[in-house]
Amino acid sequence: MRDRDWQQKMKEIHHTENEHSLRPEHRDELEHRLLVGYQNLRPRNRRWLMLLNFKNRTARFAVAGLAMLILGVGACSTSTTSEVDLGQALTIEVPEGVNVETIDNALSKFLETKPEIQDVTVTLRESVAGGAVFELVLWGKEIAPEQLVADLRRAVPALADSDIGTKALSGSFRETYANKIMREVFMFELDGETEIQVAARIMAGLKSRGLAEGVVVDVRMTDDATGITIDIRPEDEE
Amino acid sequence: MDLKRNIRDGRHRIWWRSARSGNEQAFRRLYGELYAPVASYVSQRVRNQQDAEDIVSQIFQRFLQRFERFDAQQGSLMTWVLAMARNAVIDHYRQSSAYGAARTDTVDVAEMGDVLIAVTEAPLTNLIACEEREQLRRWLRRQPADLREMFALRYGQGLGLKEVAQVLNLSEAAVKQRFARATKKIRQELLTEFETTPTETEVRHA
Repeated sequence: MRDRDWQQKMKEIHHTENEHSLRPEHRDELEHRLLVGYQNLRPRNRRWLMLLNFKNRTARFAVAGLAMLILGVGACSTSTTSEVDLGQALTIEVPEGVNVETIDNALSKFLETKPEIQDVTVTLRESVAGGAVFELVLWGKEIAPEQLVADLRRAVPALADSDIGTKALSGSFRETYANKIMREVFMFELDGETEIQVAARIMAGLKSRGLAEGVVVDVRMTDDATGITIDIRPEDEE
Repeated sequence: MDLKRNIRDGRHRIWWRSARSGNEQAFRRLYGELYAPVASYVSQRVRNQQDAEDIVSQIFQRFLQRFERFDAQQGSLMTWVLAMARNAVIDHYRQSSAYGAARTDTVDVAEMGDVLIAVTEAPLTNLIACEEREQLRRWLRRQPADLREMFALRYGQGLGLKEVAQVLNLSEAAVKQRFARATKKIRQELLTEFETTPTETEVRHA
């Protein structure tokens, strides 16, 4: 018996890896219970895209009284196509022999220096050539791909000669002008702003679209800052 | 560390980081990859299916509670969760009636050596198929429980030496030394028993 023979037989003795005798449905039942626990413990993913969902509670918005918004009736019924810049997809080839763990750590550090990247999805697979391939989906607006790749090569010298591919993630959707303005003006995430600051921010958004004349914005937050009421009305109704 | 294991650990770290910042999908993926090794580890050591399922559930609940505490510098997520699995199996046997309620607090881990080793037996056909394997199995039974557990983790769970050391809370050097000694012993004792199969060195010299 040669060395590799006894090692193979040792594996056979200990049975095939990852075989188990639990009920197949146990995995899903446990996953369900864990996800409930996870959702209670963790904040939801704060990817900016989620803010497009007006009903999303994690956006911490309760927009009330918007029906009386000073937009014209005509604008509300006319639809428009809005383009959205969702981010960039990156494919990075890591040659055989390069330590993937080192690259992983260096990538993490690099991505942390990029505030325009709001979230990252990463998968790692073996390449046909024997190395590894990182596939990164970088969520965020205004990520400049050429600059990103140049910065990446500089920050991670091991990738200086690697094949790095980029692909824009974008899409478009149809919406009413009213929705478009609501999304552009009201959909932002709060980070400790006061009622006055939020009102000023909304007013600035309306102003930039020529809608602020003769309008009053009133913002009221609940004590725990999880609910907000935004009241926008003509000045003469005060 | 081989590339496959390296990639697996890298992937787990990325998912852990992402799940920590609230990415539920990443958490599900991580769970999806860790479930089978943990279920395998437990079910091979705890024969009662209901008990095994309860233990696996406890391990993952603990995993969720301690999620933030994982330290990538200390090892991989796989070894981290398998170490939890090992402790859970030990706790289970400490509390089980097999050891007696009165002894609950006094049972030594060494006494439970046997239950920490996979108890799964291969099907009968496998048992008789290979005499060499049977010799190896008999040889394993003669070894101390802690060494048998090392082999179970190395060849049953597919862990590297460093990972075996992390699960058992031993130094990597100590584990390497134990394996080196065991390998030497296998060569001395079993290769002698199977002299009918010449080694490569012998073939070259012939």
